Amino acid sequence: MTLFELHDLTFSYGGRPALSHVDAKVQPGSVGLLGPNGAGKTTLIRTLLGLTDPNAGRATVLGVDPQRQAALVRQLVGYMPENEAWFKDLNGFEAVRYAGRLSGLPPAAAIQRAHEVLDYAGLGEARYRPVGEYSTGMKQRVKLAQAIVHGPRLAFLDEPTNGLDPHGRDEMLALITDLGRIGISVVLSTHILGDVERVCSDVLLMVAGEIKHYGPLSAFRKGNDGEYLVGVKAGREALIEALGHEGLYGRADPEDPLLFRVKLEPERVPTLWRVAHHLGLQLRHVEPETLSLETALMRFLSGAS
Amino acid sequence: MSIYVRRFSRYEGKLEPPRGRFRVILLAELRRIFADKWWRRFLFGAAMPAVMMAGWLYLMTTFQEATGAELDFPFFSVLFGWQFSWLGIMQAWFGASMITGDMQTKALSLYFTRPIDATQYLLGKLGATMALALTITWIPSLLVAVVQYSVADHLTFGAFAENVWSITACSMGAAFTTSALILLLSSTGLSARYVGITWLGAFVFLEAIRGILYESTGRSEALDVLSLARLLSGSVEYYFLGASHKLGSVITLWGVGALLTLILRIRLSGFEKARS
Repeated sequence: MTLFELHDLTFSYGGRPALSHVDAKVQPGSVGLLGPNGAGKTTLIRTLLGLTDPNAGRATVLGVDPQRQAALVRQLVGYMPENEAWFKDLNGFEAVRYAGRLSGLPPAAAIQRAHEVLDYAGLGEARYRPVGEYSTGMKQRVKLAQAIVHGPRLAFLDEPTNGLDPHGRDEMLALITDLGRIGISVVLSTHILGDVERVCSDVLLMVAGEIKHYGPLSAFRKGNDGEYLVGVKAGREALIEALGHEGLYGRADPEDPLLFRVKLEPERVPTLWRVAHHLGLQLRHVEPETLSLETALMRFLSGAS
Repeated sequence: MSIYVRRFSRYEGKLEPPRGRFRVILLAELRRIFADKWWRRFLFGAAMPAVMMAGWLYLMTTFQEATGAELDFPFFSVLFGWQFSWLGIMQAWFGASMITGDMQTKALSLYFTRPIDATQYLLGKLGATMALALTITWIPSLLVAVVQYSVADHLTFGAFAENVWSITACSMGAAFTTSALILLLSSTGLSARYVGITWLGAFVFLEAIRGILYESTGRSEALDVLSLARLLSGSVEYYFLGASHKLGSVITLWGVGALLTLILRIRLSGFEKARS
């Protein structure tokens, strides 16, 4: 079953399109939801939670229509909001237990699950302090605990590492990565591309209310169509020149004298080895070039524009 | 790092159906208020008139000629007068924080992303506020009625049951309308203190307006719609005296409550769902 499906989904705020004829079938796993400000990420999540009524088209979440069965969808999924939000006058444990009860856990199960998930989130004795007194990192942990206490099959996490120090961010990302192990798919909406690189297997890119790309992160990060990064022990220029005679044109890396890039089809990789062997040169590595997510995103956006 | 071993798995048990989820909110609010030491002190104060009147009733029937049975209207009218005053203060103090607290901590986004819609949220908050209101109107009055029945020589069970009905109807009307009004004020997002002051200020202001208009326009009972106190006392007269000309007060009281609830429902729906 898909995580969610969008069919020609359209929604506009006062005439300004926030989602524009969006189509997608998103598979289970951890999905990074990327896009510049105003791209429609939050509107998409709100629509999937049944918090907006689309102008046209429809969506399903785990096979359920959020416009018709919003309560059921919200019971099947968890949501961690971006902003600081907490239940007034409750301590960490009470807040998570209450969130569990609101999500449908029976009373006894809510108590047990609240303790388990707070252990999991790393909130020790602090669970008995009022949430309003927590640090930003602890509030983020409580929000995550509240989102998953009832065992959702899908969790929408909106900027979960906002305001965290590097250590806190590491721990939060480790928790999010671990959610996949226990069978909770994740949709991670964030501006921090490093978080997506660490956690997500797929990426869904939105620009101006449209989905511009959905697919595996590894494919998204691949360099310019079939460009390989080649490292040699010595003799880079000679190898580039010899490859030119074979119709393969290499570009020397401006920063590393032992690296160059060459565009070639996978079946022509043996040619590379043959030419190097012929010249008596030693290849250190040959691999499809992988871009940082930031570079890949910038290239994609500049190409899209 | 946590000292705990992270063993966590998805919950595979059965979840409760979403219908009726408002009870979770209702009970949580009551738990929160009852845990407040100021509520306990307030409750003690609010119970005093009923305790004193029950004691007075006992002493009067024990040491004087009175039977207790003939005391119905003035007796309960005085009691409700006291309890409605406490009700006004209670709503300003405790009712004011019901929604505004959630708005200040942005908890509405936590509610509405769970299987809670605006109606469930409203029912939970309204139910809790009404339960608090009934705690200081219905329960003390009911206890006095029981004392009256136990000490009054000639009070039949039918008359007692009629009293219980009147007490219940008066208390419910007051609890419903005042709760709807304070929740609507609370949904403005102002601080609870400001909401409480606004509530008391509006009460005094409308009383003053009604008084001025009453003197200048020929003392029309239609002006009672401006006065919550008049509506409440009118409903006491209607139920305990059978004053049929006060039926308008009862209908107005419930009508205003229903209208305010409808407005509040629409307002909460706006918080829940974004419109295009």
